[in-house]
Amino acid sequence: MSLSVCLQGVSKQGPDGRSILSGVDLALEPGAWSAVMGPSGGGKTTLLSIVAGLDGSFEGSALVFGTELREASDEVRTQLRRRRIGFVHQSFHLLESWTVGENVSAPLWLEGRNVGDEVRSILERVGMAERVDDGVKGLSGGERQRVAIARALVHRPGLLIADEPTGNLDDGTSTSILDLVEALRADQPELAVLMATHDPRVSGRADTVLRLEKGVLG
Amino acid sequence: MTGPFIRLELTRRPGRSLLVVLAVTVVVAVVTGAGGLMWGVYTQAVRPLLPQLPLDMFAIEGRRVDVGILSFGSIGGGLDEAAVGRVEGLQGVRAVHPVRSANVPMRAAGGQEVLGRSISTDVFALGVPPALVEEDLPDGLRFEDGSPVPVVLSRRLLDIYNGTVAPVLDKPRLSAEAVRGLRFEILLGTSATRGRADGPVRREVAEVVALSDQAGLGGLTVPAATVARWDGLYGTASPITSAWVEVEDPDRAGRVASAVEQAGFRVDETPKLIGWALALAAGLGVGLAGLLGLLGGASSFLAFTLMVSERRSEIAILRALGAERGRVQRWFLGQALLLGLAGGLLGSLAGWSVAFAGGKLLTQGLEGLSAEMAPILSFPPWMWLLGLLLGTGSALLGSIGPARRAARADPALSLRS
Repeated sequence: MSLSVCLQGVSKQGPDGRSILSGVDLALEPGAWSAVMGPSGGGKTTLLSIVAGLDGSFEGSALVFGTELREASDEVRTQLRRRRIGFVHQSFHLLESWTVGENVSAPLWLEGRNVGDEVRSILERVGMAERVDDGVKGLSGGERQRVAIARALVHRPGLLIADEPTGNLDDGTSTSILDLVEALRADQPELAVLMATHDPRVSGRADTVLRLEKGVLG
Repeated sequence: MTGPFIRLELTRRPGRSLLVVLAVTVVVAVVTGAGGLMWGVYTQAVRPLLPQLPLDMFAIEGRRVDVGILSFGSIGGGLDEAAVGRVEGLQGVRAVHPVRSANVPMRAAGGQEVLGRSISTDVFALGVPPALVEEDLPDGLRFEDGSPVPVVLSRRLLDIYNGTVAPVLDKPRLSAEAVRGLRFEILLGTSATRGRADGPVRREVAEVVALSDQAGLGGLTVPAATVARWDGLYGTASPITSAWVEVEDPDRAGRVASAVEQAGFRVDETPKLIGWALALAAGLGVGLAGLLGLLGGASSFLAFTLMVSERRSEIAILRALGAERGRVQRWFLGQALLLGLAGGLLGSLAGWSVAFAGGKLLTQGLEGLSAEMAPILSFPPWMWLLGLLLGTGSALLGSIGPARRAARADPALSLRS
């Protein structure tokens, strides 16, 4: 079985020459859930940005669904994100002037697909179907994260990347979000999940837990 | 698929979009409104006058050399059949009408009806082809050699008589109608200044048949065939002393006049001056339109810069979701195109209204002067096209920079911040 993500010797330096990542090796199979833990400033977000194709400036090899990201053009990395990757952020990063339905439809529009039942279906799965026409400004933190997860999975990507998905949520909401991710994984067994987190509840649900400290993955 | 993104931007946050539409509308309204009014004045008032002005026709002479108060007409190249042929071959020249001067000495006698007593004076005659004055002739009359000899007088000569001679001599002013039909006698072969020609003195009757701008100011304008006959009777030549150049397009009379001048002939300055005035007005109009177009572009640039700045995080999110740089750029340019079209259309409508209202006011102001003048409004289809092009052009021009900046946004950095 080919790997969803395969990093070999990935290193990156900051503008000041400081090492952010140093010789990171990582393999993620389809359907696997890996949690990357570590202190703030340890390089977790940079690692996720490289895997997501947001940051193409690094050393080493990063194969994501067979595409070598270090050699790929911005356009190729953008297409990979659009078709194969879903991204959930600690700050949700919703489009504030759009409705719930429009936010979730965005990946489909970008792919040039007509929006059908996928949006309503995924919103039902995350419990937000009733809010489809509401603006996102009035939503609570938990609701916003549900919308972000729906948007990340509506186009059925092969990889879900989440950066501190429970970082801004209370305990109860965090648990329900993690339950939701598990349930969605059950719907999409091939979905690989890579999460950066401080939260032990997240790492407790992952198949593998990796520790990233001072740019070194242990 | 850019439609949903542009639609959402236009409907959810219309403020900046309205700013662009407003700026473009004002620019297009000013350009098309002023342009429509100017075009209306030109087509309704100026262009109909052009054929009546000495624009479709101007006089030329051979190159003169002036030394102090002396002027040598034939030095440096006069007019002859070959020169007339050269001028006829120039671009924009419809016809050249040579004017021949009779060399035979002559006097005119008459004027009893006008002056109250008969007078006798030396005169000279200019022979012109009938086509030159046929528009000024009464219906049915032909400008041909015969008896009485048809004579055309200069309109300016009548003006001079009415303005200076008549008041001094305490004579009534003359209308064109009063002059037409006036008969007098011409004595050929003798004059007080040039003496007698070889041959007998002959008497012919002449009749004023019309007034014309093409008639010589200081002589009798008669058919060219008459001059040739008169000189034939006394064995003298009839040299070409000047010519009238008829142009194909009065709007281009200035250019044709310059070309004729470059070919070595002396040209009446009037068509050149009017041509320069028209070119200057057109240049100013185009310059003003260009300047306002840039102003619209600057307003559009400002609005789009604000738009891009405000949407920085959203652009980064969309880039992270998979929007390519080219696509982000197309969203902004597409938005600019739509806003420019809307502004162009609204501006053209407003410009049409301004031109219509301005034309009405101007026509009312001129009512007493010209009852027949049509309302000064001309808004041809190309003016609408100009409005739309100016609107979309200025909006697009202003959006290119901000759109490129938006497309360059780094999604990773923007998401971090």
